[in-house]
Amino acid sequence: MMPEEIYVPTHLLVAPVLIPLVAGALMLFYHDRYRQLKLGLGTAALLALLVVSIEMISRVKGDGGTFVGTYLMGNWPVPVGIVLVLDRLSAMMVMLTTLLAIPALIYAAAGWQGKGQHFHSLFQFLLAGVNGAFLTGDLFNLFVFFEVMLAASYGLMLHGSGVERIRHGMHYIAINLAASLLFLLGAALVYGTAGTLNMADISRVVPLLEGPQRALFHAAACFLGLAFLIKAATWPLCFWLPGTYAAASPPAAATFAIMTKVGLYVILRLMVLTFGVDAGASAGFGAPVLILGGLATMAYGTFGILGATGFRPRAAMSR
Amino acid sequence: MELILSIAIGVLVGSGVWLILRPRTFQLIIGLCLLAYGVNLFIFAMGRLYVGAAPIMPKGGFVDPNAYADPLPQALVLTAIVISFATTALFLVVMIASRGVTGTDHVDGKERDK
Amino acid sequence: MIAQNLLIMLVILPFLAAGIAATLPGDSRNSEAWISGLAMVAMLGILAALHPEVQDGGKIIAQVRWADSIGLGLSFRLDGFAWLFMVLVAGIGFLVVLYARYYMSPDDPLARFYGCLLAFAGAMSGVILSGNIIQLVVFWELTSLTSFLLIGYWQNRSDARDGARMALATTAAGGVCLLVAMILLGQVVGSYQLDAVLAAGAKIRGSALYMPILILFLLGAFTKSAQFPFQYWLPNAMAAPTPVSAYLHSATMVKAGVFLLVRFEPALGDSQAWFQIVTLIGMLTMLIGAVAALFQHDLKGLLAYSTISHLGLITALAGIGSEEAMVAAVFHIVNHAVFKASLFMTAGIIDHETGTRDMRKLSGLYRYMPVTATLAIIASAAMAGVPLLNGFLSKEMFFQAAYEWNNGTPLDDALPYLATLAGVFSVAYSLRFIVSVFFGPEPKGLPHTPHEPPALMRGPVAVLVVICLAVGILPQQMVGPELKTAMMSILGPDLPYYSLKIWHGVNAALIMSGVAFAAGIMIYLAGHGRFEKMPEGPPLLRNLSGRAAYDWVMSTVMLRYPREILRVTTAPGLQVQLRSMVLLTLAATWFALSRLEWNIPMPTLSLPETVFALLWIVGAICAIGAAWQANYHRFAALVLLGGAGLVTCATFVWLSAPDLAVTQLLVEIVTTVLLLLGLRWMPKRDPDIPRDQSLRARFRRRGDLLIALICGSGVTAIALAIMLTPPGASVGDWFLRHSYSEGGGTNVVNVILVDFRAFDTFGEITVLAIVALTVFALLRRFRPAVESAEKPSPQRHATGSTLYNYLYVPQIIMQWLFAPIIMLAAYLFFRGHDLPGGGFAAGVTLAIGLLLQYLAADVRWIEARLTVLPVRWMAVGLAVASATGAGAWIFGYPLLSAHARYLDLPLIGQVPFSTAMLFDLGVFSLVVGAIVLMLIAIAHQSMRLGPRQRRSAETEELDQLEEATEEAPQPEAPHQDIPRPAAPLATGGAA
Repeated sequence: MMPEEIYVPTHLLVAPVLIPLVAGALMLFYHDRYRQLKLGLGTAALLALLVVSIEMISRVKGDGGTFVGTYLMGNWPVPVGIVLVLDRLSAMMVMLTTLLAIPALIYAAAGWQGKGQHFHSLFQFLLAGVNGAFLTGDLFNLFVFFEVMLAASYGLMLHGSGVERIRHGMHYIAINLAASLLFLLGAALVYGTAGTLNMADISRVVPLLEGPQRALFHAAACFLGLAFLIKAATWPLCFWLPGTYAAASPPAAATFAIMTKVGLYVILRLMVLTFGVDAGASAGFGAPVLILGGLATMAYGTFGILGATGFRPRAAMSR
Repeated sequence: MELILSIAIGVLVGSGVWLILRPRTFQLIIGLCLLAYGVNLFIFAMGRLYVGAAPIMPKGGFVDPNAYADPLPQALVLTAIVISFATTALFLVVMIASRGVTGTDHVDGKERDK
Repeated sequence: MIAQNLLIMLVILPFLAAGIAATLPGDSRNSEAWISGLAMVAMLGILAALHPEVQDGGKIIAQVRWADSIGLGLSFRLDGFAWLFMVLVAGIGFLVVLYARYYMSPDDPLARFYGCLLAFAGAMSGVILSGNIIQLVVFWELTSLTSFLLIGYWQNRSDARDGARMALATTAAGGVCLLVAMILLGQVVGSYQLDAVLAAGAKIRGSALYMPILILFLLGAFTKSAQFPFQYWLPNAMAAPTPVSAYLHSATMVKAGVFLLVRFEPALGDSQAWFQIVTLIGMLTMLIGAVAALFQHDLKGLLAYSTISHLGLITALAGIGSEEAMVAAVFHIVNHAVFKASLFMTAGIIDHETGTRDMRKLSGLYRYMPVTATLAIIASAAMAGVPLLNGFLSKEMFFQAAYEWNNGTPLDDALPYLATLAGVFSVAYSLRFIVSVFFGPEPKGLPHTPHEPPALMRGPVAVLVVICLAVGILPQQMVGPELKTAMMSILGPDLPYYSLKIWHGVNAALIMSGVAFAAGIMIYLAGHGRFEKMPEGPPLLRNLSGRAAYDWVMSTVMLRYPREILRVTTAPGLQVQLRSMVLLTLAATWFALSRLEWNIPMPTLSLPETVFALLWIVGAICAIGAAWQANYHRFAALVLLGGAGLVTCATFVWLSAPDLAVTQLLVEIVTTVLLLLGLRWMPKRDPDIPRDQSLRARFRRRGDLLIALICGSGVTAIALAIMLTPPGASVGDWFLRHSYSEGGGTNVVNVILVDFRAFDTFGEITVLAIVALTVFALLRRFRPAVESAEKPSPQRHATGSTLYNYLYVPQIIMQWLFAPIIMLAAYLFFRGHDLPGGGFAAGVTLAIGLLLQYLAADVRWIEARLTVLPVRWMAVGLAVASATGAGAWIFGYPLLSAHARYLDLPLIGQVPFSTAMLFDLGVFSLVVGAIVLMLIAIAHQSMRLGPRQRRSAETEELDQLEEATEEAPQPEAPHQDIPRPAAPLATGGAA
């Protein structure tokens, strides 16, 4: 299933994670009252990200979409070390994230940045988390970047404080904490059955699983799938979303839009990799559930839009 | 050994699940902590159990992997412990902030039937 | 390859031209028209070039691969039928553009007009050329959207807005149905490729999902093609500019529905259900449309209802589904497009030159515009089906198909009569259109004096009418080969016998035509002069207004029901959400594990394990006790939680995980301190709020208990199943083998954390930093609960210096302890790579040491002396970690590559050194910073008491005010606060 891998001895792949991370860290050296300076740093980081993502897109364009670039973190060989994977989809998602982040940051500069502490650092960390989740090829590393992303989103969600934000923020955090535990259970179970955490390696092992191992692996897939569906806000796991988006500060809510996509992206990735046509007895596992869930969510969103009274809850429903 | 540990995990998870379905924020946070213990032990158990075989290697020489505990789940648990500690701390602060602004410790920020 | 590229160009070209046309300056109406016209001509050229490829049943398939790894891409497909349809889209498109150049006023925003028109042409091409059924739906919805923009083009007119909205609501709702149908179809067939779907007709008809698929599919097609009962939107869409009506509502968009019917007939047709539904709806629509058209006063209204009627005819033919009927359907699609487009354009000319479209005012226009009138008369004769015109041929074929085809159902028996009846009315309304507009007395009270339009405006009409004539007189020569090509792509190479001749001899169809003409003329004569005085709309059906029904549907379906459904399907409460999450997890796990065969031997207990069992009996009591007590006895629950944590810690020691034990213990301490500090701000659970004792609440608690039990036992079972199966090959072994030789450390766990999987650790410390920042930010705006705003009792009852001496002895001890704790932290840090310990453990230890100082001493005293800047520590930590990681770049290695060796230090001897330790140093620094920031941010809250007490009755307004004032920078980091009345921090446990 895995197309031919081409090792790219370039640090381009890690840049989408590292740039915002370092930018966010650098901002911490300054007191929060230097907001314009932080804004400048953040903008510079975003522009650098834009350049990187354009370069990435142009690199993956060759070979009709079969190009897959990898980056061996720490120079350790593939199933044991952490690897970053770049293909068309991930390159485009990184691009999308950047394109979404730029207007959000500009909007925040108009005032929201001053409503609380450390807005800019949190914003950069969020981007680092999202990009990391898009690029990583390791299941547990994905968990870590999910957490980076979520932690930053908690901060941005609560940015500016206030009753509504705290009330909905608590729901948001509680549900995501529970989902993260589910993710951990799933990832652990994958390691317990498949003996590896590298996504490509998992897909290699899946057809070889036998008997109870396969059933347990499916249980792991269920845990993971549910955790991602919660993040992707699929009905009936989506009730946290309208309140959260409506209560969050607008620039934060705008960036949250990309986070539900992370959930969907990961589902897509893992489904194709692990339960694709080559997965032997597990091929197509869970696909009907996903389709049903998707349709139900669409219907729910439509009813929600029609039934909602204000614009912001409407916009939230349309996701 | 395996049986005891798995029952222990079950008890922790069961208590945790019961608590996160309760309506008070404090119950929720205790439940999340218990769940985190359970999940950490679960991850740890994925490497199978070894007694007296800590993954600390001799300096040099041949290494028989079967003589040592699987180090990877341990590393994962370490990361998981830190992350769950961080998120628990955050939730705690949100919890007291919510108690402050809403005047109730109900998870929905308002008492039932009000 | 060239053909494939040309095919893709065919879809891209209109969108490209749309982009150009839409961005031209507003006053360049000529260049916009030129671009649009050239785009259409170019499309025609491409089609001409591709014609040899599709002849004789050939087809071109072009794939645009986008991301093969997940199977995403675009697929386009051109066969004979699609080719014919594309010629209609591009050809009529060209004529419409030419016509619009003269029709549209220069004051209208023309960039938008041409942009939307071209985008619509592109979307339509997408529908016709899609080789993937999901992609087809996407383009389908795009046609709905662009037509919405075109119908609502004159956005200041309310009828245009209403019509556009109605069209969009109806067709887009149908599009959603179609999407669901296509997804189900793909599931049944196992592929979303059009070719695979079309080839799997038997499989689809045999599927249990056939009926739902069919109904949803037909809903999509019928809404688009304005079939009964969705016909109401088309007359209301006549508020669009006439070129739009001529293009969308005669030739292209409404034909998309019948295109779909014809296209999918091989896959979905050939069943009783298909025949009954499609034919019945088609016939009904045809009849209703024809009758309603006769009673219209608006020219375009008449044409709209006539279009509905003709679409019904094509639908009925697709429903009959015999091979002859399919030929007739395709032929009539073409013919109808040609004569109806020309009639719409004529109506537009009349409107343009006289200022009205009301047939009650129009009369005798032949005198003023003889050429236009002649063209219109020929076109409407084609519409009525007069011999020697194209409409006659396909109508004859329809009559023949209706007459010949038999399957013995009542509907089938009624077909010829219904067909003739519809024919009668179509003759009548065609007559009315001609006679009342062009003949009769001089018109009175027209807004303009009528005259002939510019020749080029009339040109498109003339072209179309010539086609009507040519096809009608020389059918075989004009369209024979093209029709054959199209039919071969639908029916396969073995075509039925059909002949495109004018004279077939006296047969049933000719008799039916004759009857229709005679009866139609009679009806018109009977009603002549009376139509004008009647109110608009047909008798009987007049009150059954589709529009009113639509309005009712809109208000209930679009507003009331959604609210109801939303109320039922939404669960805003957190408990309900978590419960549904847990239940779903249980259901999914049960689903996955139901086939698991439990053949794992049950383990037995040996003696040393009884101690372990005892340990966990205590642990279980702690856990269950914590669950039991957390509601009313928080402190007890906290202690019990700590107990469970300690047992966990002991388990790690027992089971060869010293690193985990150390970390768990340290984190346990910090968590407990945090929770204690937090409890200070959680006022005692109000005993006035009793436990909900209602039946529902009890039931819920029982249910939750059951859920918890199932969860617990489920996790137990899974864990046991894993632990009792021997481990297979895992990557863990690799770490054991290579830790010392390549990672340069003997403590494998630590080497994994700082080297093999350092990226995880990198992310993990980032999480810690983010959380610390968030906690800090949130507490800056902290408003304690009213009940806990009072000072704790030791502070309230203190007199004189008692407060300062309150914790005198512990304070001294803790100050003494500070240095040893620092030593311990350093020790843990340095041995980390080889023995349990490491940067994280060291960091937590140092943080605990600092915290002890806080607990023991006066906050102000300590903040004055201890100038730790936690945010700075965090920044340094992240920077060091990144810099160490990036240092590998200098040597050409990827991020976080480490180098390990042993250093000989004087006195100390050999010390392991690895660049990974520098990374660990970053971890250490960050952990200290983050934990100290969190803890002191909470601890610092006691300083807030003074001013906050006065504001116990705060309101949201005050909060807003505070938000506004906080814009100004304030130096309020905890460590540099303005001195306030001394308040020793005897907080925490007091609560």
